[in-house]
Amino acid sequence: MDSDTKAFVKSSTLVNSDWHKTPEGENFFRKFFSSSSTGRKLYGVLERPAVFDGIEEVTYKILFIGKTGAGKSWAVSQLAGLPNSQAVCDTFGIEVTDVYWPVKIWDKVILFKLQCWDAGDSSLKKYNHIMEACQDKVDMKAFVFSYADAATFSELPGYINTFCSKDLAQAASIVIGTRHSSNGGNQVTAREVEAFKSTYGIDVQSLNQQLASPHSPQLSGEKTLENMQDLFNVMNSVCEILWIRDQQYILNSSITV
Amino acid sequence: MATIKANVVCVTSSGGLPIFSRKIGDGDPLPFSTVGSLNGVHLFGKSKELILKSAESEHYNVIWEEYDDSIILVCVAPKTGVDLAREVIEKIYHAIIMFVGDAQIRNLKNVEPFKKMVRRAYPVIDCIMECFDLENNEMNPSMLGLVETTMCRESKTLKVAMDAFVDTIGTHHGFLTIEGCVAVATDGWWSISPIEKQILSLIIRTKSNCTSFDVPIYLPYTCPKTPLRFVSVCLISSIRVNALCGSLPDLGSITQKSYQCWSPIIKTLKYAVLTFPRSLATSEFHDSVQGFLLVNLPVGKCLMCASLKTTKKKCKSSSEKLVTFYHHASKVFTRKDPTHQPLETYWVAEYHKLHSLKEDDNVICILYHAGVPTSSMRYVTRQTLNLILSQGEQEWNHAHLRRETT
Repeated sequence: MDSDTKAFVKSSTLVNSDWHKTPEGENFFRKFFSSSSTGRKLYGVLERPAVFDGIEEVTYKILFIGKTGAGKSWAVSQLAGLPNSQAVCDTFGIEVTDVYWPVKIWDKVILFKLQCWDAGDSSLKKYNHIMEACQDKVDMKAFVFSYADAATFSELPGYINTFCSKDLAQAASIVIGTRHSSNGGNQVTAREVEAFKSTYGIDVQSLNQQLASPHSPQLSGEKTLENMQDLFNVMNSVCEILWIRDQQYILNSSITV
Repeated sequence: MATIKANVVCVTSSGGLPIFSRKIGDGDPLPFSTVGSLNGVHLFGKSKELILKSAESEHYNVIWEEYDDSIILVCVAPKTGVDLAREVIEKIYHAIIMFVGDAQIRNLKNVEPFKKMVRRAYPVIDCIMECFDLENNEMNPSMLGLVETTMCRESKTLKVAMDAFVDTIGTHHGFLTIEGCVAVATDGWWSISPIEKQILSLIIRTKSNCTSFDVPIYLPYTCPKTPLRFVSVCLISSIRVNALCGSLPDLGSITQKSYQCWSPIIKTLKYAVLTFPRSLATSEFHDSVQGFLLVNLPVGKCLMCASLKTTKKKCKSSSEKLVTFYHHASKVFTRKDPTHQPLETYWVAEYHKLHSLKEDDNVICILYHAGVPTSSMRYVTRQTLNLILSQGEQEWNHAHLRRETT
């Protein structure tokens, strides 16, 4: 099963990863993002972005897993395009953020609604109800490590083993490296990441530290989208992995029927 | 030191070990040696059976407060008032209890794990301390230690939906907020203690960036031993439905249920946001009324409308005037003089007048245009109070009646 997924992840280019550079995609994203570089708005459970009216929507639950300080909440706020609230402490309890993301698969635009579940590591361990609520019907496990803290990376295998119970067996996986610095200074090397990828067969994506800068200058459309290439990479991979998982599931169940 | 606006430090009573230090404003936090000395003088007094409560320097006030023979909170704040600093310390103490439970404070043995636990409360503690930073923050009623409410015309529809919602998730404590102000709440929620309500409202403010959250929380007066779950779901941006519940149902099902309960009235919700905060029929107010602040002290809630006639820019100064005047009025009304119990007070300034009236549990402060004859303020104030109460009668007075019977 694992090797299957791996092969799929490597070979597929289901999601058009350059869609945002086409006029159609750019038009969508321009309306979706606010004028500030990564700014988007928070949508409540009764609403959805008006830009995507009439577009098919699919919903998935993603559980963010990783050591305290790995940047789970930071990653979620980056993916959601929301200002990162307090980074002063470990998240207490559960926080769920719905992230909307449009992707073009073949010739069809599909809106992904990703429910990002983020619970502080200590809350997960301490409160049973939090662990249960988080593990219920998970579609994807997003393991998070920080490029600025080697320990968060070396403990990943531990987390991968912990979160492999029956309930989570069906869930897809991705690894997200946070606080990646493009000018060196990473505590986790590219070679280590490559080795990890080939051992575990899980895709690893990185989010650049710069994305977090609160004073990022307001850039004109094209440059902004370029600036956020790693955000597009992460989001497109997440959506693609989930899509492939569903296709496989449909395929398997139709065979058994 | 000059740029620091305020510091709150927490140390253990027994050994003076630092637990946390929070500050507001730029600049460095209090150096370790200063914290040590502040604890030292307090400890010295204690050994002589003296309790050191406060001290003054040229620019700052220092307040000490010990809780449960276990922790000491020290607040170093500009000389704006000892009362404010005391209120802040009291609120911070309650915030700590709500996040870690009072048993943890009482039986504080191991400092390191306790320190880690207290970090959960940092966002709320910082939020509480914002009242020292008036340059960057609007003076708002939450600084009065009250829960800010909003009165909307749709409140009846919202109340029906709220009652149905709490029924389906099996709790008595539910409330709906618009921009952090309570629009409707169940009687059960109004009956918990004012400080609990206020800190729950602050938690919503600090976690406004997520679609839903689920936090274990202790209620020091209502449920001190076991933590409840404080759950909040964003319905449409700026409207959240919040509830206190037991171990079930889980967050996923609560989110689903909130969709089922609230989606039929989404139009009402959207309308309520559109009219916020001018949710009252402003045309019915007397021409001279520019804004008002209505407070129900026993319940610990207030309703502020600072923008009846003014533009948004002027709104800030109106709310500041009302809050400042309310501070004055509440002092006048709580004067401990059995022979003379004032029920009204007023200020006359060059550009405006302020009048306040106390009736039962309600205190209303009204900001008037300077042109209003001083003698007629009493009449207009009473009229305005009745007008507001009649608009939201069910919600405002229901809570107050319930309070009297309990």
